[in-house]
Amino acid sequence: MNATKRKQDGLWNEFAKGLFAQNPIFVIVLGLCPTLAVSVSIENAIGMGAAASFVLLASNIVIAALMALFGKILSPGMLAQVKKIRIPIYIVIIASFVTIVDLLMNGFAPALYAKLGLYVPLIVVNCIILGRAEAFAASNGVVASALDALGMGLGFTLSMLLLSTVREVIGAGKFYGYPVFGPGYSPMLILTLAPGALLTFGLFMGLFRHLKNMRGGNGSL
Amino acid sequence: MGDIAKLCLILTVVCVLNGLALGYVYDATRAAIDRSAAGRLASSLALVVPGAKSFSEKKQASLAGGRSLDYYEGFDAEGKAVGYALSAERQGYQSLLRMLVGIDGAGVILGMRVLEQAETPGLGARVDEVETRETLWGRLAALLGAGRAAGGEAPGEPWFQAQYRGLAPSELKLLASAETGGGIHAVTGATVTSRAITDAVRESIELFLAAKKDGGR
Repeated sequence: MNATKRKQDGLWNEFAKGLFAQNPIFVIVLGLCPTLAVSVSIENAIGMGAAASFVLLASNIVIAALMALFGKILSPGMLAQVKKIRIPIYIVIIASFVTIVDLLMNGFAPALYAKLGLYVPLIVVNCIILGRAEAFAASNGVVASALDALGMGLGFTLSMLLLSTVREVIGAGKFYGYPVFGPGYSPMLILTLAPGALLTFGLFMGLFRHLKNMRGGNGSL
Repeated sequence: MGDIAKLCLILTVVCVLNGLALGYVYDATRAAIDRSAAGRLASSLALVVPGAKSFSEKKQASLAGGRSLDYYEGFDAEGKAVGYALSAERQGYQSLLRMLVGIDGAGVILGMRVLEQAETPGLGARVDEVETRETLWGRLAALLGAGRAAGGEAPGEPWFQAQYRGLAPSELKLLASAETGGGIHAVTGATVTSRAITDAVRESIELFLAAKKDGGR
């Protein structure tokens, strides 16, 4: 096996791990506040997933680039000092990108903004983004960090889709706003309310655990 | 000491660069944001006073106790006043409800829209629910069906809000959803939200009519 092939496998793995083996919602269990609040309908889930993925991608790239730059231009002693203020730097960068998403969505996707406007500022405190900045982007290259963000973002979005499909179909009798069952269906309201979020989440988490155990449970896909 | 100063400098530079980027995006999106806010207002105004072709700027009717009520005056193509759009707001079950209600000169409701609400999904939030006969399967068939138009039906009016049309403020009685008779049928399981909307609408109209009589306008 040559070195290029191994490197490609490594990069592919940085992307793919977010989908299942290190799924941010069901395996790492990060960013639950927006997940539980927004997964009421499929439309909201897609909007929130896309917005959070964009912020995650942008912040991972910028933070990886900035840390690489600091590594080049600063003396080792100074670099150790700068590491002490890394969290404030991450937060400033993440908050800026969230505000940018907020402004862009308000200006160019008003219908989506009317639904999600309330939740966009919540992305700042979405632990997935800060978590990936600290655990991955700060100590990896720009390309690997971008792939990590794409995988994690996609994993987040797909997990939200799973949760919201169950909650919308059973809890409201609808799929993407269209009624699934006839007019006689009486929706199981609890699933669209907060307890339903926790119930659905818990069952999916159990399912992911079970699937992982069947695969040997060593964390690889 | 020197280290602290350097750290401050680095953090300041990061913040300033972010500030510049934000300023640029804000500037680039401001026009679009203003446009979409104005578009939202214009389309809800046209919905609540259907006969009007143009609207005045926001006006304020002063009420007793130093309070005031925002309203817009609607004109038809000849410039004759055909009605008013009044704002109304009240605390609902868990969010502030903001409504716009259109009335004619005598106070009969021409249309009502809930502009903003964040009530419980599946309960209070159903005040925005549009009844659709189209099911997912019908929609899919329309999308896949060869030659059939996939447009679907035009977005309808939320059934709860449609009930207000044609009622005078004295007829705004809240009924349980199963009751029959004239009035407003509450959304099942969301009496608080339904009552807040009905009360806010009635109060706005009554206050506005009283202010108009006092002011001689």
